[in-house]
Amino acid sequence: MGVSIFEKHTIFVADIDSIVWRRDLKLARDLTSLEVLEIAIRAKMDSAALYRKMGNMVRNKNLQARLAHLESEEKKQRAALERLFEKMFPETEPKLPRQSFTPVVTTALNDDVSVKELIHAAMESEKVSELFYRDLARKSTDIHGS
Amino acid sequence: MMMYLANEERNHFDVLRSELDFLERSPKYLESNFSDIADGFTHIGP
Repeated sequence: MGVSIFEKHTIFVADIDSIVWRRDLKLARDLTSLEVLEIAIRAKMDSAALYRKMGNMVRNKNLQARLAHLESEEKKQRAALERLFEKMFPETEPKLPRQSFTPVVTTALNDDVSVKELIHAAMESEKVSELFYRDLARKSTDIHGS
Repeated sequence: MMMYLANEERNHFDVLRSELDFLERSPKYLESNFSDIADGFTHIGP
């Protein structure tokens, strides 16, 4: 599975406002429930890794605590998704995408970037993920969509 | 489940945006060791 699941996907890092206001992301094709869960689990893993990387780079205790909390939430949500996967597909091992579906996250995780760039990447990831889940919730009736 | 996740992503985005706002107001935010920086941010720096 590639990373191009959206018809229109742009790297937004330079312009946070475009993340806030952009509403035209649409899935390029309908995904199966299995694919949705695999993508979501992978996204949770990447988000947790992003917050962990950020937390290791900052000295501010307050920010460290916030990042640790975010990392913890991503891990809990990943666990919930894995439980759901196991319940829905008990005979199947998840095949997670090799890369995040937000390319900027892959870059942020693998390259030497600043905390500010990491925050931008995480914001993009959260925004794209929100749109991803909302789009699925509108379409889905078989994975507790609403 | 999907709506729950969508709302959680929005909450995380808002937290990050708030942190970015702090950072853009003062780069010292990242270096500060003050544990109460969120409440007393404007007290930091010259």
